[in-house]
Amino acid sequence: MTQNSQSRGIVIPRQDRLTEFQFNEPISTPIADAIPLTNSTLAEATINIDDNNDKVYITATVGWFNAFAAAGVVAATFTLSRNGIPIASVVQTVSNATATEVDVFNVARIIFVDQPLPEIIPSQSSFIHGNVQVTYTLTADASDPTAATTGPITLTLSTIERNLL
Amino acid sequence: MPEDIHGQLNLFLRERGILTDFQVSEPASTSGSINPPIEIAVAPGFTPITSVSVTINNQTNRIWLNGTVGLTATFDAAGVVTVTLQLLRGTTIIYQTSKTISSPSVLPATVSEIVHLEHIDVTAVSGELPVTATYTLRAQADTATVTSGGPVTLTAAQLERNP
Repeated sequence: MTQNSQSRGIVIPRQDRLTEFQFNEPISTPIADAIPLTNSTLAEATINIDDNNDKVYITATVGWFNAFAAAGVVAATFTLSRNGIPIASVVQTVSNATATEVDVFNVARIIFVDQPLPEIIPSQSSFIHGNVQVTYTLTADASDPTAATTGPITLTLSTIERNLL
Repeated sequence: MPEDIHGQLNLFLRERGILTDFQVSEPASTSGSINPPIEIAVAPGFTPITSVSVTINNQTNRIWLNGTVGLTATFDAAGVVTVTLQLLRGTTIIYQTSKTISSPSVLPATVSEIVHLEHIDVTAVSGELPVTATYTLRAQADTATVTSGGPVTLTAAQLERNP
């Protein structure tokens, strides 16, 4: 299976492939004005699902920090939602062991495979007849209002086609 | 035509947004396998960690970059050191993130962390195709106490457009 065969329009079955790639990357290099993480929507992307045996491979990467005025620990929760329903989350902390004022940076990373999308694809048959648009949202919340991001923020979606074998 | 036939025909339709090319540079896959470890330069310097090249054959393609770097810092006492990591296309900075390594111990300590970078390059090419783009991952620390002994991974996946 080659790209050339694709470009020539040769019909080939698709299985276990990454397709329908979508992404949202609102910040790729640091911005000047920090965005507080408290109840914050960071990124959102929509993907087309055309088979209810498809999986959706989701990756999210967020650079964030807390501006410490003294020693302490701050936690941030990053959540992936499908059409508004939470489906995955991670909690990450940053800490400062000294009394010195300092910004402490961390990078949160989520990899999640979503399946089978039951509430949006109720079909009992093997195949979906038509396409369904599914929206995934990356949100954040923090234990302290001083936790923030200046980026980067990256959210990607890919369909993993089902295995026919 | 029965619905199941429609569904099975759907399996053979041309797909879009597909991954068509994958390149990787992985000079070290385990922690400590780079010996001696790479010393991370202090600002304003940068230390190149690894690079990967991909040949782009369509201006609408996207390049999905993923990097993973293991970092180690040595401390004489409690404190922090922050490492800035960048992705470059050629000499252009296209992505930047930061990672702080902290030691809570009042005693000398060695602290290791892992950091991940992820970027989609949508302006990878201009001019006549095909074009080979080289992506470099580089790092800078705010004190001279940080090294990378692995793992180090940088991937570049080429994705066709979603028509």
